Amino acid sequence: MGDKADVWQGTLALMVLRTLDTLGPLHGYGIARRIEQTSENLLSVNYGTLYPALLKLEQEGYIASEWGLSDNKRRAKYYKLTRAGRKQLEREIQGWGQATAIVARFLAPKEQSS
Amino acid sequence: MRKLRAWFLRLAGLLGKERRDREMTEELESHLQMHIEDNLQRGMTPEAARRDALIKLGGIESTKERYRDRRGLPGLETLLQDMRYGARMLRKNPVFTAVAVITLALGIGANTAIFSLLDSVVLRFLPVEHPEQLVQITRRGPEPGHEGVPVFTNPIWEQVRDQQDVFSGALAFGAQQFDLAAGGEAHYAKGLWVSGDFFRTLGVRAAAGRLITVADDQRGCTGVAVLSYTFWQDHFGGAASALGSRISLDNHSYPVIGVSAPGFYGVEVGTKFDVALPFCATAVFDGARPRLDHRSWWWLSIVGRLKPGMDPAQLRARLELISPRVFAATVPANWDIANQKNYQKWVLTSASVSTGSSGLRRQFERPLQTLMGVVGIVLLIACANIAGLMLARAATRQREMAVRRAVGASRLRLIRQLLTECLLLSTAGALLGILFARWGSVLLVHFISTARDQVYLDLSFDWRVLAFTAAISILTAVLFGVLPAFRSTRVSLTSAMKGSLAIDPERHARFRPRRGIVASQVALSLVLLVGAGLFLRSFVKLVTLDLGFDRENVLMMHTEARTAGIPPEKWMATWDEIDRRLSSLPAVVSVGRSLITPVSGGEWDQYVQADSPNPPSGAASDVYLNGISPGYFKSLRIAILAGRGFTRQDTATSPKIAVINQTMARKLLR
Repeated sequence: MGDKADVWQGTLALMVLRTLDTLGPLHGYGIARRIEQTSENLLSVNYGTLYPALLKLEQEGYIASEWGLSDNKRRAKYYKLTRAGRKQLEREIQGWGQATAIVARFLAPKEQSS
Repeated sequence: MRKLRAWFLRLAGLLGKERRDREMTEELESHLQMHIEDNLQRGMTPEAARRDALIKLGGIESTKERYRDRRGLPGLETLLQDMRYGARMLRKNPVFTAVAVITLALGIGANTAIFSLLDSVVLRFLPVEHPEQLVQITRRGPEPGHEGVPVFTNPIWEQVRDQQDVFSGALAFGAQQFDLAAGGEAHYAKGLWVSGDFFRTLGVRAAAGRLITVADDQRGCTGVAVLSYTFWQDHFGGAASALGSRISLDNHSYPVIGVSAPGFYGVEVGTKFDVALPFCATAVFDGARPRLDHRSWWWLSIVGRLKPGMDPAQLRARLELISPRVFAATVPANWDIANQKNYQKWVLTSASVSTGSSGLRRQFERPLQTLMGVVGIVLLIACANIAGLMLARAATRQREMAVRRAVGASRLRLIRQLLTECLLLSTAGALLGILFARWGSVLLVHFISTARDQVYLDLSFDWRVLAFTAAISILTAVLFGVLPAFRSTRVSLTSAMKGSLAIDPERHARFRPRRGIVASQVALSLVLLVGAGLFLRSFVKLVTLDLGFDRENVLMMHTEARTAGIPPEKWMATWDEIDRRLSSLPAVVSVGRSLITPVSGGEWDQYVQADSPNPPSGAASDVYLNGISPGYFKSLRIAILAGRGFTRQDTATSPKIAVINQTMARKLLR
């Protein structure tokens, strides 16, 4: 896992919200796999950290959960985005865009000067 | 908002633990199964598939632990855990716990009791509008010792009322006891004479009906009565029918027009009124010499509400300015010239009464502060005692501490645990202490009350008292807990585990704090002992004070000839008859009567002119008088040093005579 970036604090929630927004209701394992796949395996989620994060989002009312059946007819807890969660996602995307733009400006190639 | 919601849910997460735990286990289990199935599909062996899934999850138990932390409030959970554990430890040691809690309860209770008295006598504001604007008017005379005298005559009050320009409103009041019964055994009510503006200026509202106004206080009025809320509740059951009914006071009947707001007991702290009447109604009681025009009947207090923006210095200056006019207009004509001159040198001044005017405060503020200091020391001694006990207990708990340290508890964690135990102890002590304080403060008020002069204080615990109790209980927990907690968690693991405490190298050091505790205990106790000794000496002095008469086996009774409806010309005969009948009782040695009961607080003084070569004048010619019957000296065993006492032959028609005491003979008849 050496060269795989760890998921840093704060972005995990954004990724979870985005995943649920794209794929619709999904269980924890599915969310974890999706994050890994989307990052083309560059990002390694320690699956264990995902569950407290899901619980936090649920406590804040951004996602809701209910038990359902998976494709293989296995009982699993499904998470889905709430309306508040959708709004929060928009806000975070906006904020994230701003932050990266600012950082990008700092990291722009140096102008040639003597 | 979201954060608040999350906190609330986490608080709720402390409940229904088992169900949530089951659900969490199930969720993680389903996660693992899905992962294993995926791995199997990718061609892993069953063992490798499971191993990989577990590694990726990062361990089931640690995941669960993190999940639980997020679900509930870890800090709160540890606190609850500490409290449960602490309670269990205290239960395991009932004797220690009982001793500690009772010691603390006495200490905290004593402090709370004294503080609640201090609060009601000194700190609490009057339940009126803007109490901070109220000032009481006092007077200052030219002679030393005549300062801050708060009583006035009605003529002075009328002058002040009409001449002052510093108050937005001024009021005056005076107390008098009334007999509610028409004849037979007397039932007393505490009466309050009030000027017309009394209630309006204070901003006191009516609980029922209406209050006395300026229109009710006009010369020649027939009088109306306003009841206090408690009197209305006690004597009329709070019935609306009380309004419009009539109340009999010393055989004069008055219509009840209203009830004042609950919580208002008058301006004087330590007293309460039952019935308020307008000043003008005093005329009915006074007959030929009405106090309304009497220039040396000192019976009322004056309070004013400052105009906005008026500062104390301005106020005093204005009062000083009007003083000469006020006193010049009210000189008692029957005083001798020297005293009249003195009278006109009086100056009006002021004192703040936001917390109520009170003779009680003047009398008890310093003693209460002293008592507060004393009970504070008592509490410190209690703390030292318990700290000692805790240290002793620490020795027996050393093994426990060592084991807990060994299995990974941090020292801070252990200290926290021990301090939680202390807080439990002091909270239990405080709760029991509040009970003690309730009884204690009632008992104390009872001590300073006498049958004739009852002290009434609102002792209900307000937020200030409860905050005080909470603060001192936390303070005591810190005081007696911190040192033992630090001491008992400093354990040497190896020696403790080996069970050989005897060779603990730190053993000697352990005695140092205990020596400190003992030393401070002795020092504090010594302070208390000396204080108590001084108090006791004063007390013995007071009890054995020579009052000039023999108090043993003297019984006292009061008669109210006027309210019993006996015409004045028959009073003497009635009293003589009472004398005669009492004397015939076999157990009675002698019977005497007096106008003024000695040391009752009642006084009758007058300037006298002595027929001697060099008669004193002014304050030096002021003597105290009393009217007595022939049996008085004998009943109180007062010796006649020269001449004779009164006999039955001294009647209204015989030559006028007087008996003087030794002091007067020495001072006035030199």
